[in-house]
Amino acid sequence: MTPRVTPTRPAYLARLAPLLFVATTASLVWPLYPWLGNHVEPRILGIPWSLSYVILVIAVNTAALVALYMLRAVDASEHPEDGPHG
Amino acid sequence: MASALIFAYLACSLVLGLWAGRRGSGGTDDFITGERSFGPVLMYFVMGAMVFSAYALLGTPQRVMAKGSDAFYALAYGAVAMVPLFFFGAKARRIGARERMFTQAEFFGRRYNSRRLTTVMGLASLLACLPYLLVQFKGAGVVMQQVLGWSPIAGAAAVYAVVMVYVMFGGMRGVGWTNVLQGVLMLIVVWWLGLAIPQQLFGGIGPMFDRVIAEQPAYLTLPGPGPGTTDFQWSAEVLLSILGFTMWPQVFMKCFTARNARLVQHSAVVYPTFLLFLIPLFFLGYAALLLPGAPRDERVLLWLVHHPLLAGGDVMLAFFSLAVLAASMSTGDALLHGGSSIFVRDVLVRGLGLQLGERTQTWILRGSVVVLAALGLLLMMVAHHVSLVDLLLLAYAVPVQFLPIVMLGLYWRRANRPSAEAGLYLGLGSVIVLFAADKLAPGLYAALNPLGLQIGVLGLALNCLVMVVVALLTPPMAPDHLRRFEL
Repeated sequence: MTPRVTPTRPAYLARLAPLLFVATTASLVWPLYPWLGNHVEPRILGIPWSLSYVILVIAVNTAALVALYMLRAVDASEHPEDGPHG
Repeated sequence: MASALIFAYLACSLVLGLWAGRRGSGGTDDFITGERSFGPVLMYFVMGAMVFSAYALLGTPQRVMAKGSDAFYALAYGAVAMVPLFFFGAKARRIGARERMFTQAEFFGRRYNSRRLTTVMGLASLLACLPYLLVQFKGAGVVMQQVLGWSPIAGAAAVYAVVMVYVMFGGMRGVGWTNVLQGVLMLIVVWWLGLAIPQQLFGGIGPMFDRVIAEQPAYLTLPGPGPGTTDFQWSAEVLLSILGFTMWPQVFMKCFTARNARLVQHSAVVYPTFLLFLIPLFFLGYAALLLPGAPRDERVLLWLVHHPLLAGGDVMLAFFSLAVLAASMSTGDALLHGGSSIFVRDVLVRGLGLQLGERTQTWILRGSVVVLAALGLLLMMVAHHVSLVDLLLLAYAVPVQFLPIVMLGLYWRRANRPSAEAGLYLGLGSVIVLFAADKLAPGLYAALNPLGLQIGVLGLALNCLVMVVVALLTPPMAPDHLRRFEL
């Protein structure tokens, strides 16, 4: 059996990542959303802030996911038997 | 023009689905998971097109008109909904491939060494998927009525006859490749209309929102127009949707179709690019809000794209109809495929312990697709006797009850059979009792749920509590067994 490939994995990132997503989830609900997001102004490209804010949260989350994926920070171990039939 | 386009599109879907089905071995594994061979493009469209249904296209602008910025909740929960899959998807894919598992209920039935659990999860999943199937049928029926003048039932039957055939003989590969066609169509048409219509009617997105601010400002922030959405209601619907999203069996099962574990994570990473297609739908909702005489039901966009002030309305109507059909079919095919897989693998093979050969299973899978499609049509015929809102309420409350079983089963060594069974039965049982009490004995319901919380949340709280307590009071499962699940 081919030995398991264990990529470099910044363990601290893996531990911090869930906290980031808890924070972004919190930013979308009470009390943070009414406070930070539930306004018409400022508008971005004409879009009201209440919608722009949610889009910005998506952008932050996506950037974080891309970083975690590229850095192989979360569960990136690849077994040789990862192929079609395990 | 619209009718010719619709027939051409249905023919293309059928040919593509059947062609894709010929690429595999035709066995059970091929039917359910496409022999775990999907690459990044197929995974992207399978995930995106499956999630965004006819309800997203027809219901999102309708929700803007009815509740204003409350409609943004779909975008808000979508922002985080795929994150859990990023964390557990790779592990589920690895274990699923190694243990040759096909469905979510089969996975956790084996994790907890309980055939009863598989059966109950399977039956609950089937119950939860039926209202969604009905929504897809209704979406197809609305379009066929608007464009061809057919009755909604005849229209839905014609569309779903095509879907049924390509799911039966194309299996997961048929679903995957048709989802590519449907996903591309949805993305292009919705972005095109979402930018072109505000431009034609108001001179652009900015000027359109200037008018909304001047004429209908309440629609841009919570609580929105009366009676309004409270902060508590908004938060509850966002949180419950985030928690329940990846627990939907047809979403979880897609972990098993990926070519490798990393691809599941990749799907979660790129999913937001699909999610953003809700934005033009919000624009279209606000555009309709500013026009006098807009209908307040699910036909609002079909009305808008055919508005006399728009140039090229016929072309817009034709392509929008295609996009709605694509959205309906891309979710409906996943439900028919997932439902048949769950019925055969979880209920017949694992639950009842039937010893079925490979060929027999494949034929029963195909037969189940027909039965489910017939059930969808039947539900549509009696739909005016039942409240869709009520059915969807029940449908939302069921998959979220799988959350403790899934997350504790994947990450907590102490989670064992008695705890999983006790938690699930209590969670599902309380959901059913509360749902029945709400309909039959409102006084009792008010006493049981004085805060008016969503029934799924109450069931989940009980479910989690009982599962943790029972797990701590009973012995853990054997280490050898847990190692198979990377614990």
